[in-house]
Amino acid sequence: MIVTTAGLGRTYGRKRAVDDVSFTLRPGRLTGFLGPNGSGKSTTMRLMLGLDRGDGRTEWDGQQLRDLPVPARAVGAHLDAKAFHPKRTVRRHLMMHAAASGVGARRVTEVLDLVGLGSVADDSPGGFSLGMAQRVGLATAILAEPDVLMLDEPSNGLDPQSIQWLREFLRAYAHAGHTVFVSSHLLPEMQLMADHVVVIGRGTVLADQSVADFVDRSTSSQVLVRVADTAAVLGAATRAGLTAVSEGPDGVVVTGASTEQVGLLVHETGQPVRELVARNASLEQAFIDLTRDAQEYTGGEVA
Amino acid sequence: MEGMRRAVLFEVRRVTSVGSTWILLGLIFLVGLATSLNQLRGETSAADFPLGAVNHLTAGGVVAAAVGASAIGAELRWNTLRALYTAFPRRTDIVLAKVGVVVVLLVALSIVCTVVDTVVTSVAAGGTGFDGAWFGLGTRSALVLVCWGVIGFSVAALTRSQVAGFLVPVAVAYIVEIGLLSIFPSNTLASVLPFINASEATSVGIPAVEAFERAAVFGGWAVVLLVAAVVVLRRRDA
Repeated sequence: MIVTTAGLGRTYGRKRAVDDVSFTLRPGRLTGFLGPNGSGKSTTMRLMLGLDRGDGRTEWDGQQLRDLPVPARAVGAHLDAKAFHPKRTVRRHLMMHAAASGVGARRVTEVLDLVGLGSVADDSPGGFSLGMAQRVGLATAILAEPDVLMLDEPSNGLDPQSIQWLREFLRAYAHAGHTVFVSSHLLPEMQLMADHVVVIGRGTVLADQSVADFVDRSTSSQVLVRVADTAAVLGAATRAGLTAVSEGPDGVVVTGASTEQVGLLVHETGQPVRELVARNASLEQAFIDLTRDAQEYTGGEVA
Repeated sequence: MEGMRRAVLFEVRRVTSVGSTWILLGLIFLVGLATSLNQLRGETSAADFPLGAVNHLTAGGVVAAAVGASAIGAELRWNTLRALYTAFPRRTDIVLAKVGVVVVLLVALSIVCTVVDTVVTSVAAGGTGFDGAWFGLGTRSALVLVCWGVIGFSVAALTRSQVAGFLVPVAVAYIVEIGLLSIFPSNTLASVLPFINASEATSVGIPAVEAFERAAVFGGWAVVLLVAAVVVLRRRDA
């Protein structure tokens, strides 16, 4: 199912929280939704689902969500970590949601086992940890095996093994032909998981492209070299037309050059190399570069 | 229609899967039974017992408000409203399903209560009272019980608070209306206040036509509040 958002917007008081947000989610692809705190990610997701009132429209294969015959089979969403009655057992919670999509008890059991909640299926979730609660939310979202899966920060509270499981599950779900849209602050995790990213800052779309293109476009690869005489290397780099800055007492970071080029530069200065390492561009660095000016809430300098 | 069917099934599974629903319904039953049995100790004649039993069922109205309030208030309290509206983007379907299930539960309960209470008190007093008056009073009692539930639902929806859905109707019934009438004693005012009319509608000595008119006033309040609640739930952010 192709999901198209066009001109989504929302104003709270004087603040334009989401402004003219448009993008397309395609099947078979896991799209990461990135943005600093307060950038409008959650509001955008709620606008897409018609949960909040605002401008613009979202179409699900060309239709409004409300006009689809069984909306629960079109989209499964997990937006709030602990969205369940604490006294209703997990199985009954899922049976309740099964009514919305028409799936049966067998599928409920299947999903419980899939998300690892089979052993606590008949327990009340009131005392569940955040990680367990996330699994309940995920189970609810995938219950009807919807065409589109929308998850808001699903990794919060999960241990490393669970994060790895979630990554593999979501990738498999997307590559089985479903549309997956996931917001997350765990950028290294998103780099491993997502095929495509939509980056939002101050309520507007800053980037909408493949992860590889986003990383390549937004950052340059760097090489760190450690030597005794950093001034000589800085001079050599400048003469070669490269950008280089010192880092620490014996480090020089050269931008836009390969490790081989930097090795030759140091060789010209006639000194031994203590360390030579390529710093590959990361989604995290690309994200920080892009959203530096779009950050709503910033902390002070760390002494 | 299919959407409504799924919404009703969802709501039935929701209300029947937590203990609090059964506790509240059991409480209404026990309140009715207890007040009926208590009459046996009074000076009411045996022939009045069945009517008295039905009448006192409305003491459970307060609890019925809690049943209604929990239908929407629990969604707000446990943060499940977004999941609900995602599954049912046509909000009117799920809101009406919720109200419908509350109404059916309370009507069924009031039928059980009136029959059990009437049989118990009749047997205890050695008489029976299943006649036209009993049927009329039973109908009005069920209506009043349902309207308490609908008002609880509507107030909870409008205030976004399960607790307010219970406390506000109780406060209006037992404090505000009584206070207003003591400050401004007026038959006209009394004829439009909701809970005084609800009480009159289930009184034993009042003529049937007037009693149904009183019940209609209470029902009118419930409908107005429900319409307001539906409009707000449809338009408001989840």
